[in-house]
Amino acid sequence: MAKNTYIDGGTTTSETYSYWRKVFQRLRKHHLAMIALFVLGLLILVVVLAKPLSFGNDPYTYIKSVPWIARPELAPPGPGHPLGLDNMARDAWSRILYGGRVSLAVGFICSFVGASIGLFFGLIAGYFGGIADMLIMRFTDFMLSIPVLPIMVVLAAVIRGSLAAIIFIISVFSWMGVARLVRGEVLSLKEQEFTEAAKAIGESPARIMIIHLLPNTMAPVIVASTLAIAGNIIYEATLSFLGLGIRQPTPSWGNMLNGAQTFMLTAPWLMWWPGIAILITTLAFNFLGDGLRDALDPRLYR
Amino acid sequence: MKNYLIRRALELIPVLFAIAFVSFWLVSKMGDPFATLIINPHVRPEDIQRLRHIWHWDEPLFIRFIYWLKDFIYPKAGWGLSILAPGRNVIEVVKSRIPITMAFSATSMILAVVISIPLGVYSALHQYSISDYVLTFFAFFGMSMPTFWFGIMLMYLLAVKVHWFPAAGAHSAFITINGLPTEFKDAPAIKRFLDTAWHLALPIFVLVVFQMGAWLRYMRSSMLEVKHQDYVRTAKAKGVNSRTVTYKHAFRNAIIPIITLIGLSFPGLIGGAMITETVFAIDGIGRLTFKAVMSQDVFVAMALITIFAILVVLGNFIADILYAVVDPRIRYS
Repeated sequence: MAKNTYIDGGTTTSETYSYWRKVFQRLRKHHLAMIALFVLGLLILVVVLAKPLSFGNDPYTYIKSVPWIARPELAPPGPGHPLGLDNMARDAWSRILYGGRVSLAVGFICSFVGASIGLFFGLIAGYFGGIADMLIMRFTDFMLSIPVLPIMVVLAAVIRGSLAAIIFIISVFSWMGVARLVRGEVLSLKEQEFTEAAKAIGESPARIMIIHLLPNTMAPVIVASTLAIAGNIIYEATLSFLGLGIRQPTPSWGNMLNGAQTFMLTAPWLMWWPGIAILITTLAFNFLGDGLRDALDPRLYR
Repeated sequence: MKNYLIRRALELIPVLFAIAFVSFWLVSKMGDPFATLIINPHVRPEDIQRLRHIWHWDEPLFIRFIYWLKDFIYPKAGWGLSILAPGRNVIEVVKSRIPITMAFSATSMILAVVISIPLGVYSALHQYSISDYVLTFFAFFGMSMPTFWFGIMLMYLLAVKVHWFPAAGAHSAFITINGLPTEFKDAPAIKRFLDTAWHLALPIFVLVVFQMGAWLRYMRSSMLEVKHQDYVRTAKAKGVNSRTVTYKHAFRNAIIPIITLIGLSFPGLIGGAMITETVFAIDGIGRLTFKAVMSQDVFVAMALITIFAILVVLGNFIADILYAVVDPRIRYS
């Protein structure tokens, strides 16, 4: 924490703050971002507490019978099963809760992995320049020239199945933006005095990059990663919807919609909630990302 | 300028070659295109061997790729064998699906851009007004909406619940003319057009909302950035009327990044088209890609992904060129 003194229109105010506290203060003025943060907190709490919240139902258990309808498959909502049962007679509400764990986890992890790869490439390209820069940026351009969804579908068909495979497939396509951002930042940062000073006292390039450059590039990376979480959740949902993502019986919001079109006439209630859950989550991440952009970079007029 | 164009165009070749090779490699990992023939009792094992040899499937990957690429550029063998449509070569299958995808993705893109630009400008000029908030919220809604779910919900609400729109397909099988059902291909052009438009209304709407989110945000922030530039202030200060300042000074500069972004929006559009075609059962190249991947139709998937890659790379190229054309400050180096 640094002690700073402001001279503000004749009155002198003195406050103690850190950079991040100031950011949070600015974020607090952004009402939509604060609502988004609250909603996300609530969502995380709900999926963490999935077990106690699912009324004693298990997302993997086939329910033998329900009292209000003859067949338990595609049963409409009723006592104990607020969202009804799916085509394999599993409780839809508990599947939403447990599916949220998967969807949110995929969103976070892919975004984190993507940001890490992007930081790695961006730091190296920006700091060393020359041939490393050329190779990395050409590779980035190459990755940006790939038609993402068709290639993801092919990749998902080649390495079918596990959660790790989906995370890998989405992460592979979510680092290019961060790499470009970081490279741009590093190009200007490395000309500044603090980098010169670090070089002058003989610090190694790795240390300069990690200790001095990396923290200074964090602001745009945080914004990009927050927005990327929303995109990654949609990618996961889309792949799972197409039947190429998270596999049954593991629930995810996307694969709960996999059969939705087939049951549109017989069980339309099944297709509402997974979609609404995705929409609320992606909206919240987009609003939070937007708020963070304003808070982290007050120079922008957005 | 001419040299710049030629150099940029030449740079595309290695990129395209690399993408084609990587997708060829990935797609051939998907499965063996001749595997489905083995279960066919009418096909002898020798025939399969012969087919493998004809399509160079007994060669190493890279050699096979070179042969395939040669055939892709100068189609003699028609891009390979199709499993989805036996007896037809891939080039025919793909060609027959392109027009419908072109029609509805181009329409949706033009609509999205044409609607978003004035709305984005309006939003920026009335920053923090009620209408700005409404538009911003709508933009976020479009960006956050999972396309496939939006499509399913619209289909459910507007085609299944109330029968305003057809639920699926690109056109009806029969059109009623003078009270008589007529086959689609025999109907007059205007009827065919109206029928297709009616069928494509929902998928186009889905794609327009999906794209509008991003365009609205881009246009708004671009306009806001320009609004605070010195030359706008100067124009205002010397007494130019506000309409002229907005449209001649600010808008012309604000539109530059938007024009270049059009070329860069191709991957998103391709993905969007693929999803909406799958949801609405429209037989375009997007749905064909998905079906080809699902049924391990290697040659079809390869051809389509290469076409998509060409589109994306061309989009990037157009973006670069347009940027150099519209913005005189860019040097052609």
